Amino acid sequence: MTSRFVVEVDKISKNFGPVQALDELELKIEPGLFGIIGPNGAGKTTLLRILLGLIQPSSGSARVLDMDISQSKKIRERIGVLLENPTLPKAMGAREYLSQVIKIYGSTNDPDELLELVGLQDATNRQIGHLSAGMRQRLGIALAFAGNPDLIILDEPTSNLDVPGREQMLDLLSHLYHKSKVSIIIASHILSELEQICTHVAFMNRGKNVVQGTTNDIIEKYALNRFRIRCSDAHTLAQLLDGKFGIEDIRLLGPNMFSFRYENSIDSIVLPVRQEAESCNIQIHRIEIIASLEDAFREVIQ
Amino acid sequence: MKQKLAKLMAQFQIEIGMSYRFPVIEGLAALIFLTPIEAAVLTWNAVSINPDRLEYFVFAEFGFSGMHLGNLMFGLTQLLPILVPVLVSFTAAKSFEDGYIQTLLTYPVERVTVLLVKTICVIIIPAGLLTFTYLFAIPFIIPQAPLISHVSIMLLGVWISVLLFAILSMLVAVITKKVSATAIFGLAFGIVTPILLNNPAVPNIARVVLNPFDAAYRYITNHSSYMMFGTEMTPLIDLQIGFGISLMISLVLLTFTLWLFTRSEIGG
Repeated sequence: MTSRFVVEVDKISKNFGPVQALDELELKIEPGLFGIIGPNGAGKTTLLRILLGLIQPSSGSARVLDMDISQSKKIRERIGVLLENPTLPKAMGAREYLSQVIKIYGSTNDPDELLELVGLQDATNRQIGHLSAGMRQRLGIALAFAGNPDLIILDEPTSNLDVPGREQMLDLLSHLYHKSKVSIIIASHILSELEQICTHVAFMNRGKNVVQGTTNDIIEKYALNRFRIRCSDAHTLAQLLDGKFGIEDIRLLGPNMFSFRYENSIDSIVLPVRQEAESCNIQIHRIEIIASLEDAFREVIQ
Repeated sequence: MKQKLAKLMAQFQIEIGMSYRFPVIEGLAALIFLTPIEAAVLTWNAVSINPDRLEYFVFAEFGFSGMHLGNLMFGLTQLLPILVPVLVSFTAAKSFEDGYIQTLLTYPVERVTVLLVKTICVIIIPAGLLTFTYLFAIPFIIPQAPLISHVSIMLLGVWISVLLFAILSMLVAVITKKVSATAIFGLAFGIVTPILLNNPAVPNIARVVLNPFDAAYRYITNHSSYMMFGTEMTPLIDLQIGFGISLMISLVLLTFTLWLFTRSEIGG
């Protein structure tokens, strides 16, 4: 029986000594462009390493492309991977190395075509050690496509890149996804990037899958009709406003910031809210609409 | 089969490209070549100053032409227990430490094959260079033909020693995953073995097991340590048994290292 999921994780836990990196994590990833989001230390990289067979889970099981993770080599035959800050042989040429990796996959891909696909056609003979960080990441993407994979796993693909480099990398990933229709899993802590390209996302925190769904559904559920106030004393103002003017579901986001749900136009309560704040000598800096994945993530994690 | 072979060759090419680019092989070759060349120059200098000394070098003291072959390699018998672990630290342990092993293990390769490729490279390259140097030096320095049996004993000593030192160091590299730890092990091993080799309390066979190359050198030069350190000359039978034990230890250690590597966590 074939599964409709590319990855199924069933109650996986992983301990490194006293540190629990994954805590009975459950996750089902459908084909498409999927983002795994979480702060540093959330367990994203640990999860990917378990899926790749680099480390063993303390408990639980997982399947990748309908194969148990114990069949690590068979899984790796069908996936392409770009690890975070990958180490590559610096003294080898880009084309030379890619050619050898293609042979390892037993693929018939043309290394020149792959290098052209990622925009490295002018650097084919350059030593990997002489490539810029952005070019190395591009080479990493070409390497991930070396074996005609059914699934590509990318761990922090934009780390170490400057802003233009990040944008180029995201454009490249989006282009490659639409061209090849290969499922791509991207683990990252940069939410704005994943919001741009991922159709589905999962939020991870402290080794658990906190929320999962389509990017739009998550924004709608956790960030639509929600507003945020930045002020000098969030705790006092939040207490004052709770239940007043139709404001509900107040969440403190920090000493100077809280969010709330309000079903109508925000303009109708701006004045009364400011008056309430002034009555307690609280200064309101900004009232804003929350509508990004980052805001939804903050809402969920807080 | 053809595809498997191509895959294996690709792994070898990556290993060579990753670990044996300039100046690793060049440095290794220079070290290995320079030591016998130095011995040759010293010998010829001595002979050219006083031609009568040729007889001294050939027959008088040691009686075997093989002595010269052994003498050429003497420096290397002392250097090898350090050289091989340092090479392992620069190749295998480095890929553990810098994370390349992680990248490699995301490709469809068996862990056993990955480690075997590394081990084979680290054995073949220094042992091959030593063999070449040794055979290359024969016609230049030996006034008379060496005994075939001496050549084979010396080469066997070289290969078994490199095998033993490489696998021991590989085990240290797999356990520690550190360049420094593997190199320090090499230095410690290089310092401790001569002390044990020259200790009269250590049995002959144990001395052969510890450094087959050195034992082969001592045997063919008829260079009894007895003269210098009070130890007895190694008889041929002890040499053969020692070689066998050393080989077996190497194979057992290799199996254990491979087993350990297949179970170790990478990048955890």
